Amino acid sequence: MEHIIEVKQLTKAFTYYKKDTGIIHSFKNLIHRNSLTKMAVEDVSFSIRQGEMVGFLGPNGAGKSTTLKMLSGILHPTSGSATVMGYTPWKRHKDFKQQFSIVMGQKSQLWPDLPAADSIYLNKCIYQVEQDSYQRTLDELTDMLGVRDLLHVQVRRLSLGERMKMELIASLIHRPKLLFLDEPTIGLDLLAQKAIRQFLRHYNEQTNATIILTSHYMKDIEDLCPRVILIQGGRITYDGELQDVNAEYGDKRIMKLQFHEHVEREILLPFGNVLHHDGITAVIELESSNIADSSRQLLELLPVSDVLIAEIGAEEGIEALFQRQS
Amino acid sequence: MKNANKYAVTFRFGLQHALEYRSNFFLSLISAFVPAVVQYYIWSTVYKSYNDTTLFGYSYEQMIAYTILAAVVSKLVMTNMEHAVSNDIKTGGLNRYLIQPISYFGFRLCHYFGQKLLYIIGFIVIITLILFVSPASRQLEHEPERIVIFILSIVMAMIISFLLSFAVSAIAFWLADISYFFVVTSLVINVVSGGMFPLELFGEGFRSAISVLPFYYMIYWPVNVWTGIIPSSELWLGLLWQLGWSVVLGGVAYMSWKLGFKRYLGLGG
Repeated sequence: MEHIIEVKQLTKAFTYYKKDTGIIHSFKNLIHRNSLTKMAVEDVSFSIRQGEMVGFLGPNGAGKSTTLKMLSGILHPTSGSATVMGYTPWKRHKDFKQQFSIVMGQKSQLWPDLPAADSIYLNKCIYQVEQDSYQRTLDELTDMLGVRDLLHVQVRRLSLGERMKMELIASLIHRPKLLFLDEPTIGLDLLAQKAIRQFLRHYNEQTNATIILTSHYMKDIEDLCPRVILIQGGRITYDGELQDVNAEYGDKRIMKLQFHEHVEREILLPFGNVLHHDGITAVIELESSNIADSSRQLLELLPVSDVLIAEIGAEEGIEALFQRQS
Repeated sequence: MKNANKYAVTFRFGLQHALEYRSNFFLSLISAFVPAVVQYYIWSTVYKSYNDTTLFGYSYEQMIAYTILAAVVSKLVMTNMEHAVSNDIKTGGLNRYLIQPISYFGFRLCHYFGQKLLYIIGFIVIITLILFVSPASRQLEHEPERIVIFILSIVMAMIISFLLSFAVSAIAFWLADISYFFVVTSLVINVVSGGMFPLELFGEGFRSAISVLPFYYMIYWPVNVWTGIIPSSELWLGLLWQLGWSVVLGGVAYMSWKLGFKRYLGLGG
């Protein structure tokens, strides 16, 4: 399969001004401003094949959105190159624009005063979708998301979840080959999150569209993306199968302990890495080879009332990876 | 069905937007008329007490026609879109025009004319009323050529005003919070365009200084084509000035947006 996205050493630097708190510094800033440079994205390279679903993961401000903005042509990079569907995104070629979509969870593209149907119709005209195909896609998408009755309701009267579904319909009306989703489930309840995940998986299977997703909800990524790219401080720290994130933790176990009286943190330190401790409960990361010995000792030495031993899940794995990197 | 043009749809959205806020529309019409009515009484008193036939070069009928028309034309011409545009720049609303095959300029232009459609209709009604009902305008002569140029000049004034607003809004690329700046500029533009009083009130020197600037051709000039203050010999020349300023402002808007986009950060989301 061909690569739909090829990114080489992409870098984006922002300059910004630093201001200390206080009115004096505000005046100082009027005269002289300390200009600082922040590397939002630094030397990022990866490639993505047609039909893949890839999750971008990273803490706030890691550079996920900046990367998506460069790939969709909103931002010019400071250096490096990217080819998306054969085009350089920031040249903003008309044929390129015709083939992708970007959905930003925090930024609506719908007109708040008009029914969603109007905004969707505007997109039909912008992308010059044929009437037949428009009607078919619209029927299909509204049925799949269960929002047919809401098409003619003013967007500002819709709930957040309903609005998000409409955003998706508006973004997919021209059947893009490539879809960027920047936190599509942000602020949604569990049911709405689930509906959107199911919908995205279905859309990917049906059309073989490439989907790139950023999210803070681990469940989104676990459910949808076999492959994850971890971005931290503007750099890629992991790129590969989600299940392999845990591979290096495969020989580790998590032990959750509950005590019936206060236990000092120092007592726990010899057993392994103490991830959490508040006196009455504690979470320790242990080598699986030591698990039998350690648990015996812990139970003998300490006032343990309950114990739970678990494998490291994807969420804990990624969390641990984030902590280690920073 | 053939694909409707995206700009035609945008035009319709502008109209729908105006209809959605109908009460706002009627209130803004009233807000245009209150000062006009006040001025009507002021000028009536002034003309009576002076016993002059003309003041500042205007006959009583001309002054009243100017007052009413200037109020309506300024409502028609003023775009008030600086806030929306600078907000798009500031909060990243511009992003979608970078990723979709539609131009922001074309979008704003069609939206503006769509939004003004109600005003245009209202304007035609008022002009007709003035023309056939008002005793004042019976004194004014309206040869057909003048009426044609009047209509053309209004269209050109709308274009000039749109381009000016579009160019001014580009300042938001450099300065992040300038909402008061826009309040001030639209007020100043309205006054120096003659939206409140005929420019002669500020002195002949001021009027002739302004006469080389685009503001002159936004309200003062079209209105005075109607009142007859502009002599017939200068009608086509004024239209040429309007055309010239449209080209210049178009160029300024183009350049400022081109530079602005280079600075654009695509914030938000």
